[in-house]
Amino acid sequence: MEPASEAARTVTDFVTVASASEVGPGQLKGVTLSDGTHVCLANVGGTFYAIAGECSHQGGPLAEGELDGNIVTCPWHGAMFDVTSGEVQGPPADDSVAAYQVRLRGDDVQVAAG
Amino acid sequence: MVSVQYNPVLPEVQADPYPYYKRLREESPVHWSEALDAWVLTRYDDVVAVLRDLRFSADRRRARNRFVQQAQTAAGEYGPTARANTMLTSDPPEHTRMRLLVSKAFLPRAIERLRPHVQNIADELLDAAPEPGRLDILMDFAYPLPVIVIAELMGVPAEHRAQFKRWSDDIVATLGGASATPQLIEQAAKSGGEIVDYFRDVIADRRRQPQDDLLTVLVGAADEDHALTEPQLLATCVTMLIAGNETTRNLIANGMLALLRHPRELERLWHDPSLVGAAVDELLRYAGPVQCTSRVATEDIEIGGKTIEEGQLVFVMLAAANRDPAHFEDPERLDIGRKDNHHIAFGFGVHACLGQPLARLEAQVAFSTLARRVRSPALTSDYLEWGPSFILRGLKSLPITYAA
Repeated sequence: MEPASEAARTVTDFVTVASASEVGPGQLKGVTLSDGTHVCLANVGGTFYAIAGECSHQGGPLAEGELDGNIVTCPWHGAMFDVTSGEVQGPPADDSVAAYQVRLRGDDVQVAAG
Repeated sequence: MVSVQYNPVLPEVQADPYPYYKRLREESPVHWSEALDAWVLTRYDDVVAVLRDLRFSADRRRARNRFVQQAQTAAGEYGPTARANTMLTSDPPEHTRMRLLVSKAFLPRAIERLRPHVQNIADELLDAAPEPGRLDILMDFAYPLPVIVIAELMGVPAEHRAQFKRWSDDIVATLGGASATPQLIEQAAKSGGEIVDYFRDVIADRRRQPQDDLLTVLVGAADEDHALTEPQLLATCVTMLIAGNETTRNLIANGMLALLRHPRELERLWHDPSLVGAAVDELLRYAGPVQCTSRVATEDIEIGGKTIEEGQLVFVMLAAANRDPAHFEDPERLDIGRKDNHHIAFGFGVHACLGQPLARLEAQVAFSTLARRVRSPALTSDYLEWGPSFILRGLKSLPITYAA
């Protein structure tokens, strides 16, 4: 699955998932959409990104991992993903994770719910 | 009741550490070991908690531990490289940057492409075994297989493997300090110096003539992106070479010994090699090559009612956690078909083994090849000699007979 095309398909409904002030630069936050989807929100130098909340390896909680630059490292087994695209960067994960469109409306961080 | 003492250097502990782990887990799960000058943790939940908690640093150089200090003063010419931060000894964010330099080469899909080649190596090694019906699983098979693979991946000649083994064995012998005699320390420093000289030459060669290999990637990272200093570049090469051969070697040999001591499980695998995936993970759990890893507390942290003080070293015993009955049903039993096997033989957290897809592939090829070609294997002796490291636990040889 190409994360970019996934993002391109989900352009319709944006839902507010957090306020910008609660996720500082270099920080992560896990949020759950109304359909139960877990999303990992990342603030990279003031720009917000969102990828799937669960690691594609064994479902580790990415929002509880480490964010360095635009790379998140899974807290369970060290798999690495680019938060700007969802692309897998390091083992043991093999597959990329979904990336979601994000926009800022005032202090509201909104994610395309699809 | 005599209170439990843990000294991994004693030969009886090295020969079979598992009864000691059981006692520690039950009687003293957060245990101060005078022999190690460090804490020893044996429960799964405690081990995972430490490995997830970044207040525990991987930078062992900062530990208040007499062996860490001893090793630093003894390192001699190998010192600058031994003291350089690698992905094994750094914390995020530096750790992330270093791991990223090589991580893509270890993605499972990239590693899976090596399978036919690893299979050829495994078959050639058995073809080349000196005597029909007799095999030293360690020296003829478990040692050359992974060192050939990692040498090729990195881009150093596999024919130099006898040297790689000697350097690697010498350096590993002193890890953790407690088993390090002055003689072993001197030997480790000497071999450390030699391996660094070796890589200095290879790196100079890559600077003149880039190749399609990991060394060239690392040299580029150092020269173009300044992501690694020269000592870090050398230390990363040494780390990868050692990590890529010592551990998988011991996984194959320790695993084979476990199977030989559980003939019904061996028969099960030999009859149905399709079990090899689950079998390798069970051997990782039951007879793991990496018994423990360590961290340093960066502040006072309480675990299980004990206070780990800032600067103290903590050994988290992966091999003990992997037999914790709170997480594994009938944990002392070897069951090569075990389900839900969430062992932590590769560690846990951001430092979990980068090479795990490669280790699994090599071990799966190794055991399926042995199952196909080495029928009715049997130990030739009950006496087995173990290497000196309590961290990377491995045999010196494993001679068997089989129906040729």
